[in-house]
Amino acid sequence: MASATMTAAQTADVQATSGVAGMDDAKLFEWVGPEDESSINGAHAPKRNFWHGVWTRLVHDRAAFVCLIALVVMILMAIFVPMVSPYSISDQDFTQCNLGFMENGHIFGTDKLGRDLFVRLCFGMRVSFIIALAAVIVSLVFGAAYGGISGYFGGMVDNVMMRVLEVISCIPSMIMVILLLMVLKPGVSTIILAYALVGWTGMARLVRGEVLKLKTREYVLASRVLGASPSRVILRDLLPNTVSIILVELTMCIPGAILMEGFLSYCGLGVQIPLSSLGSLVTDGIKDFQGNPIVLIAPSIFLCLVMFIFNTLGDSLRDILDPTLGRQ
Amino acid sequence: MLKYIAKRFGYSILTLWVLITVTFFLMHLLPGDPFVGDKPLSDSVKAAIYARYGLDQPVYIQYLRYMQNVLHGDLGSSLIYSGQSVTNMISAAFPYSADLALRSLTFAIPTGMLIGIMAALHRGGPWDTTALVITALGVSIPSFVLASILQYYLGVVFSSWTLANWGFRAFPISGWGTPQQAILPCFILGFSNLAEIIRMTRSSLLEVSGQDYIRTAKAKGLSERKIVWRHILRNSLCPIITILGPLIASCLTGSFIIESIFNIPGVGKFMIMGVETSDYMVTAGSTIFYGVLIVGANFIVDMLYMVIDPNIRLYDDKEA
Amino acid sequence: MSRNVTRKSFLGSMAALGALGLAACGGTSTSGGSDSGGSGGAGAVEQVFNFNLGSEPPTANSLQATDLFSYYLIRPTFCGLTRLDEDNNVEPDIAEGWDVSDDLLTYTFYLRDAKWSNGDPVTSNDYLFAWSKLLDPEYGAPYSYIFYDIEGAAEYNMGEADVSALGISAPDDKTLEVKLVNPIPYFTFLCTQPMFFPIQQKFFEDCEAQGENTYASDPDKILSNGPFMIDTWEHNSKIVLKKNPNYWDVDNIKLETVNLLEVADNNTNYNMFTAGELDIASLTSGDLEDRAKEAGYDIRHTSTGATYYILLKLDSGPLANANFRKALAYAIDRQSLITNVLRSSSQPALSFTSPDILTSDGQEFHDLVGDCFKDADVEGAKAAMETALKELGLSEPPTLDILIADDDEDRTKAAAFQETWKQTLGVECNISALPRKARLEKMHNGDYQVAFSAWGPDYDDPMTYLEMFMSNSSMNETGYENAEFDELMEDAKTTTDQAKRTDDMVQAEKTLMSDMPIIPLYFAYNDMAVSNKVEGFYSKIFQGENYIHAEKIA
Repeated sequence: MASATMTAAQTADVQATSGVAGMDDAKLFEWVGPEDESSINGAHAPKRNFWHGVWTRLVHDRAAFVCLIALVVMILMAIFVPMVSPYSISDQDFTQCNLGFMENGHIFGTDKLGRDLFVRLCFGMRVSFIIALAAVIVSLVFGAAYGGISGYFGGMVDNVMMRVLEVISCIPSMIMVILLLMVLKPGVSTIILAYALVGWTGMARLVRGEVLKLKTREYVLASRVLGASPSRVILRDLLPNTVSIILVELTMCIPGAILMEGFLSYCGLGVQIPLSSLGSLVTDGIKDFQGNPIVLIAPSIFLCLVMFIFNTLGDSLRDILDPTLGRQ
Repeated sequence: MLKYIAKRFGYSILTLWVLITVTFFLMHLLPGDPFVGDKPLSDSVKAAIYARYGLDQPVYIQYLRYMQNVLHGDLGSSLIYSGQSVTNMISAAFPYSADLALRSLTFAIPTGMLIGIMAALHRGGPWDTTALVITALGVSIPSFVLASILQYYLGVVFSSWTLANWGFRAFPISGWGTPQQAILPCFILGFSNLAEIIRMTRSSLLEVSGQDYIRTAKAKGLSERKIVWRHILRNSLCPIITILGPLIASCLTGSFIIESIFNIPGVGKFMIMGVETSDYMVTAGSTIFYGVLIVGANFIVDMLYMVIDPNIRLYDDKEA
Repeated sequence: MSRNVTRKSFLGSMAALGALGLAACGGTSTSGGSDSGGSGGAGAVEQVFNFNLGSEPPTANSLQATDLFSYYLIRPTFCGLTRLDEDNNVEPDIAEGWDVSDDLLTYTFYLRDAKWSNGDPVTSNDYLFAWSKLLDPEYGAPYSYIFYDIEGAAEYNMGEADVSALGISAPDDKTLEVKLVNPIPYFTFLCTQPMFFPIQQKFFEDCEAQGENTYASDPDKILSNGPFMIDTWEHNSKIVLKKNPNYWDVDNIKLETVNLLEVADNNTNYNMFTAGELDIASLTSGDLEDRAKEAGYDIRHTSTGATYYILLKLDSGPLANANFRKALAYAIDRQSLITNVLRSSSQPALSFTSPDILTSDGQEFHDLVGDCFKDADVEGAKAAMETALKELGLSEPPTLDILIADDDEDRTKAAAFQETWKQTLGVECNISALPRKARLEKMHNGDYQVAFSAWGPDYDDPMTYLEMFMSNSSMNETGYENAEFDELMEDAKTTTDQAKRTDDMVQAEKTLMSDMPIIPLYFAYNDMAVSNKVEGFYSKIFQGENYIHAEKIA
């Protein structure tokens, strides 16, 4: 996957860079040509798209395939059911409280306020997916950037940044999140912010590790020789090659984000009434299930399924992308 | 090597200092005046109460005083439970939490390692399937769901049945003290950790088994048993140690819910109480306490790691 | 009693009284259960009562306590000048008898020979000291306002006068004289409440000398003169009470030991009850009640005397308009909410004062007032809303912010009202839940628009409900000001003509309801299951769960 893209423009700025072991050689090189890019690539066989290969292997892994299908089904449910259902998520009917499975036209029954559980569940999936995705992406952006910078520069910068990282990651995250949520107003954006504030450390560490490994490779050396600025090297050369790790970490982080949302709902810091999320439905279910089991069983099953799906997909992705990938 | 120890110790102290400071200031940002009662207080009454607890000083003075106290091991007095020292209350609560955590780890670690090892050695067999199932369940089911369901079905329904038929309750539903009471809470707390341990053990074992030196050993003709014992196991222990830190942390934080559902008077329940009543001192004290525990645990893990992995000793200083 | 008395805390305390005896058969009881109590009263039955408080009592200091949990610790361990019998009639306790002057302003109490748990006699100075301390402006006791009918009390407490201005005196060890400024008919009733309990001066000062707030922080820092004394106090876990041999009426006490547990989870609480580890369980949900019925337990529905209502901030936007407020009030279907959702035995409230309250001349106040509006009056609500919008000059219904507590019941109610107001009136609401202290603070500061509240009576007279709506009351959180209302209430406070007094208050309440500064919801009832091994236990408004004269029969 190594690709050193060179254009005529880059030859213009030659910069000596230093600070990284083995990079002193940069000064010894000088671009000699040819000027035309296509003639270089034309000599090779057509590149096989890496991601195409990943996709094929993923689909052939039976467990992962089933999970993928299930995920698609759930996403479709989350999007369409609240739109087409005759009940809205907040419609209450006190004469229809606590109904069970398939009673009176309610597929999963009703909760104690007479609200249809099925539509609330699908809406809840929507909310949980959004929260999880947003939380993970925010922590990715910040974590990857942090790790990339730390790994690339090394030395003092890396030292300081890593120490800060350690200190932050030692603070019990659950406690910090609870405290933060007590200070800020509860709601979807606050949950995302809180998760991002404590969840980025894992990503940062991972990316830093990879960048440390990769920056001694020749293509990076070549980029630097050609005078690429640090941000360009990080963005164009290093980070794209960490994508596989980032992707695996992303997939594995989503269950954690959903679980945290569930835990926060349990502590009363979840989404606003009358919205529902998987976590808030499970929490409400715990309080009422001794009278009407389905209020706990249905959301729990869906919650567990979502977690399971993402875990399995993550596992399969990891196996495919790099079998020797171990956890630090 | 001493340099390594000193360095890690220094970072631990730094972490703790940051933790204490952040906690203190967050506490003061928390909305909610702990002395607000059901009836509004007149200003003079309020002033008297504030003076009593030293809350009329400017924030930085309170901070300095607090730091000073903490260094002497005094975490302040609870604002709600007038006169109770937070340190005393935590010391009274900690044995319960520690007991719970230790017992669940004693359950989770050996069981997890056993299942993981057997699963790795006999791939595709029943052990492997068990491992898979437990791992899947462990990562999917949140502890509070598991706790609520088990407490009801085992602690109430099943136990009523055993009481009626066999004259005793199989699973007590609350409290702490007898071994029987410990079963459900420890199992639930240990369960999610179990999944993680099994997964780690299994993958670590598999990774080591695929290494060249194992193949060499096999080629040399060493017996299976010797290979497993002397080479595979020793080398796979490393990753287990690395997750010990987070494991202990997860046991401690996971205990919040278990303690409240099973009514165990531990530090988790204590801290939740502090949060609910806006009792700054209690919340800050518990947070710091947890922080000290976790930082301490990580430090010990680092020391262990240093003993096990010579690379750390040799190459740490040269880390780029 | 205080406002914001939640159902949960009531019920929690109910549950606490329950656990009288794990007793006899089977059950490997754990530390959640009872200790093997002392010698039996009735034959071989262990006289141990197991009760769930639900939460750790913040204090056992009768001067500082304001909440239910503390009272559950203080009521059995102390006694006052008077006490309440099973029908809430005032009867003598430490005071053998008392004289009242004709103008109803001077009370003279004659104390009997009673002892503290250390053998010292209970003297009138114990009362003088306790009440003066409570009113001491430097001490900062929260319940000082309730003493303001005593001469000099308000002035002393606000720092305007010296303690010598207080109209309380102890001419000798067994006599206590109190002078009032208002001829309130319920003074002896007030004396039954915890804030009026005595404290021995020497003991208190010895404790405080050891450190601030040391008094009542641990069993050896409390002196009891009541039926029980605190034997052990494991914080956040369990409190054990033992019969006080120095109690003046000790022969009438059957229980030897009382275990007060602190189980917060409602389901766990009920499960422990079915396991025999608790003697009382509060049935906090309809489901628990169904199960209890099925299991054949003795289920009791008791009125708590508390009125649950919605608090409105009158100077906040559209809430200044009376028709808007009435629209909000009429739209709610209280009966359906109570029957189907809350599933409790509470009664819809269409006026403010609880039906349990009698007037000073013995009439049912609630009947005199009658229902002031209709429940679930959708037509009326829509009409009122239309008028309100015109009067406010709005083309669209406004939005409101609802402030609620962090608990399940509030959330359910808020969700119900949010939906009802949206469907019937088109009013959208934002709900924000805060932990208890933060919420109370916002309410005291007036930083809210719509909030939930409850008011429990401090004494048996309509005055305790209506007083807080006077414009000069420190309890007035809505900002309600009505000169007519104030006038009627002032008259009721000062007149000695009981019939006129009653009439004044009836008119006042009707005025209040036609202004609707608050929206009454329901009169709260408690449902609880009582073990059939217990006799003599009862729960009553003003007394809470009373196990003092209970006994175990099996």
